[in-house]
Amino acid sequence: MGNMKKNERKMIVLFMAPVVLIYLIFFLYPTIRTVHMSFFKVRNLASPASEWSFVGFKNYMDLTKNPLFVISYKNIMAILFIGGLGVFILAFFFAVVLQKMKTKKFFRAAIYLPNVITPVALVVMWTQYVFNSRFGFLKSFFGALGLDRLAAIPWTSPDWAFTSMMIAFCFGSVGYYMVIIMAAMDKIPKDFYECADLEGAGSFTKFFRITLPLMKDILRTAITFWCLGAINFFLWSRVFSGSGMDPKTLSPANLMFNMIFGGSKTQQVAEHINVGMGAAIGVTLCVSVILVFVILNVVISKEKYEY
Amino acid sequence: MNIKKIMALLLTTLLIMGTFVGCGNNKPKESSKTVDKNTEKENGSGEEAQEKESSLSGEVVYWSMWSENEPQAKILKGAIERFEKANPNVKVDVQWQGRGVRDLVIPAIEGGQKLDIFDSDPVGMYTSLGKSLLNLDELYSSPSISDPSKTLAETILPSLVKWDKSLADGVELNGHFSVPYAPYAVTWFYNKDHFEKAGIKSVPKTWEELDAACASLKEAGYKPITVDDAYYSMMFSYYLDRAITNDEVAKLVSDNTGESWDNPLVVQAIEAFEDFHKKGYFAPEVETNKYPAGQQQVALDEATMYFNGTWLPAEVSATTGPDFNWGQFTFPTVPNGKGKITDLTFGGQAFLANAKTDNKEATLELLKYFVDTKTQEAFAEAGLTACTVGTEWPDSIADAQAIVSEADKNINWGANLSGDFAEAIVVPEMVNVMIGKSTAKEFIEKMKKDAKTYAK
Repeated sequence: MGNMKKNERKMIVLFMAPVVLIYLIFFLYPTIRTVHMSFFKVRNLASPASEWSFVGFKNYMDLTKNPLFVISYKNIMAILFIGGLGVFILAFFFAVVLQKMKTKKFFRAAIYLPNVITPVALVVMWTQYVFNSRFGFLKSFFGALGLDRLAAIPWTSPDWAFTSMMIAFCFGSVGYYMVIIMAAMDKIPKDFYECADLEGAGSFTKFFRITLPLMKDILRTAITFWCLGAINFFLWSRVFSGSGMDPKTLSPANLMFNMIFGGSKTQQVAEHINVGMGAAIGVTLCVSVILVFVILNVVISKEKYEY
Repeated sequence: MNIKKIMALLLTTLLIMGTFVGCGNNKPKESSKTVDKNTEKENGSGEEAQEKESSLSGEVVYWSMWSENEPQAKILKGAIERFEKANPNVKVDVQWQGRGVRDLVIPAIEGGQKLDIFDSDPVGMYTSLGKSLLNLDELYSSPSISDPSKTLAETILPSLVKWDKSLADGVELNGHFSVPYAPYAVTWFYNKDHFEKAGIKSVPKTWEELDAACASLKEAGYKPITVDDAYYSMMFSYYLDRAITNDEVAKLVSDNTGESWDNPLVVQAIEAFEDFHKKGYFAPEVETNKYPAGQQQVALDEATMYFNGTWLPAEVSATTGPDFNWGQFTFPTVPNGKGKITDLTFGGQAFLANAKTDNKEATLELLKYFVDTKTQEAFAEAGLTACTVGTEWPDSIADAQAIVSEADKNINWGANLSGDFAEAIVVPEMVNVMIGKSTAKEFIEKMKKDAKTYAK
């Protein structure tokens, strides 16, 4: 028995080694470099370390004073919490409803579909066709229903830019989490429900007393994925506004990109580039992710159910 | 369970780290390609040698700012074909990078990647690459392919040659380091039919005349001015240039004290936009226009004026058809302004070369093909602008060609209203004034406040 354990351990080491090695070389090393870089004022991404000037925590202090960073951070928090709530409520809703439908496979594929389309194309679709204030889908749809006030919402105006972006982003995300949730639901043995039915439990009781507790593990993973996505929110922010830098839709990752590679339209302001501050944003995001991970592990406790 | 935990942690961290991968440095790569430079010299210049049999060999790597299916790419492919035919021993490796090339070449060159020619807006390249650019004086003084009695410099539009020189001077470099092509000018574009119907006899030369023209247009039932989110900043930045000159604009957006925003001319600029909003000169759709909605409004005959570059008529030609009556005029002067009407953002894209090229002769030779008359005529035929002397621009931008020839001083793209602070604070707040969500007074107050807190 002890020998088995020993062998097993050997196998684990053997199988883990390549991953760990790759991780150390391609991920840990750049991470350490990024953390290192965040303490320096760096003119150019490729400038040699000898030309960096040490500024200590100044990059971080400056960040807290940078209104763009503050706004961008608020933006991703709104996506994380408000958007997250919307996405998970809808994902659960569709998962539960589809579970009982005969055309389940078709709708599952249809709702998942936005995930296989590049966000750049989705942004064009949303801004040019759905949100368009002249002939957009929302305008015609609400107009046809006679809901004039809803039809008149200027979705693509600066005031609505963030809401529009969040709706578009969340719409595409629902399918992804719905598929995860449906898979988790499928795994729960049917006898539990049959038993509950016999005892006279209603749909709500079954959902909250059986379904939800039994998929806690998977739910935690799904929430973790969502948080990672929200914190590293980049592409949508980058392409949703004309300049790519509208504070209404700005995210920290996008701001980081701008600081590292220079202004989005020109590089005339090369002298303003401080790659170190961009690195500081990266580190901040990294810390945020770790924090979220820790919090989720504490909040959603680990209980093991065998089924 | 423990292993599961470790795995989960590892995977999560892997995901996070993914975002950092882009920050890693490129290790310098030594290219294996070498050119026998001695043989090259013995044969005299590459040009002469080519008459009989080209002595050039090796590989030239070109990173293009065009995507493969763009008309420009097709034209340049033609030039490369001609070059390869004349120099059968040289292989041109083209990577159609698209506009993203400007973000890619700097780390590539500084990192020592094999890269000989690239193209981009040269302004940013001069500032960020400087000494890493190959000096092209030899190319400028060598005979042109289309007319060997002239030097290459003589076949390129003088304003472009002058512009390139001024760019080099700006970063304290001596000589020429880029060959400008695909020239553009930033001007007002307008529908000549609308002007005629509104009874406007001549194009506005002052802000007051523009005001009067807008009033007539409005009375005639047109929406005088439109814009979309991609170009929100343009009109305002040019007003600022005409008011305080673009050098001062650069100082304005990098002022940490916020005091520059008290300058009466700056206040006048934002008040002018508030005034135009109140008079209803901006199309109401300006608030919701997502690019290209604004230019489509002009193309669809709904609005009259749009401030843009000479690429506009080609961009909307599918909507306008060939008979649209395009006109251009340059940005008017403003009351008490220090900027002149002959200040113009013109210029273009430019071919640049890497100083560390290991195949200089072939690189220079290929550049000649890119800017020879044959290639440039192909540009004009495709409805684009040409950089060679005597090649006429398409009818739709004929006014602009005249504006370029009268231009005196070149001002940067966006008249220096650029950078994080400008793009993320100044422009969005200016848009609020333009659509009536905020006042000129609130704008100035916000700028003064944010300029102080904004970390440079």
